[in-house]
Amino acid sequence: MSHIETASAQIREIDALASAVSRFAGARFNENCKQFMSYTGLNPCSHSITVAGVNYGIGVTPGKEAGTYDLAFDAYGTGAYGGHDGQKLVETFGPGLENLTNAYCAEYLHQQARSQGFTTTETVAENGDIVVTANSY
Amino acid sequence: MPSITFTVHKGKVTAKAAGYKGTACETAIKNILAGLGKSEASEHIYPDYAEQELDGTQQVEGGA
Repeated sequence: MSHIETASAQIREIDALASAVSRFAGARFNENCKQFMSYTGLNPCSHSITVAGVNYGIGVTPGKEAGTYDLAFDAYGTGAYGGHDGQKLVETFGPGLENLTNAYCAEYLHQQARSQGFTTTETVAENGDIVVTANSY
Repeated sequence: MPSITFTVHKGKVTAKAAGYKGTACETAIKNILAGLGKSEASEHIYPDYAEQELDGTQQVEGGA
C-alpha cells in the first residue's frame, strides 16, 4: 500500500529549493541523496529533504517535463507507532507542502530578479502571503 | 523608479508593476516569472496610473 502523493509544484531551480528548505527549522536539503522514507520504505529520488527527528522524508523526483522536479511525500502517520510520522512533514511544511512551495516561489523570485539587476526585499502579510518587491534603480 | 511587487499565495504568484513605460513592465515581469512554469498570463491596464506619470500597471500570474 502506498500513500505517496505529489505536491502541486513544478520545481525548476534546485538552488532555490535548497534555499527554501533552509527557511524551516530543522529541515535539511540533501543534495544527491537518492532515497527518501515513506510507509513502504525507501523510495528512489534525485535529492531528498529531511527534518530533524522525523523518519519520513520528501523526495525530489524527476518531473514529467525535462529539467523539472516534483516533490513526493507520504503524509501517513502521526508517529504514534511503527515510526510512521508523515504528518510531521505536514506540520513542518503545511498541507500539500504548501508552505514549502510558497518559500520556493519566493526564493526563485529573489534569485531571478537579482540576476536581472533588481534589488529585492521581502515581507510576510498577515494572511501568510509572501510579498517580494523588486526595485530597479 | 520602476518596481515590481510579487505576491506568493498557495503556490501562485501575482505580479504588479509600476513605473514602467509601455510594455516594458510586462516584459520585465515575464522575464522573472519565465522559469516558474505553469504560468498563465493575464494583463490588466489601469489608465488612471498614466496621470501619475506611470503608463500602466500590469498583473501577470504564474506559479510553481
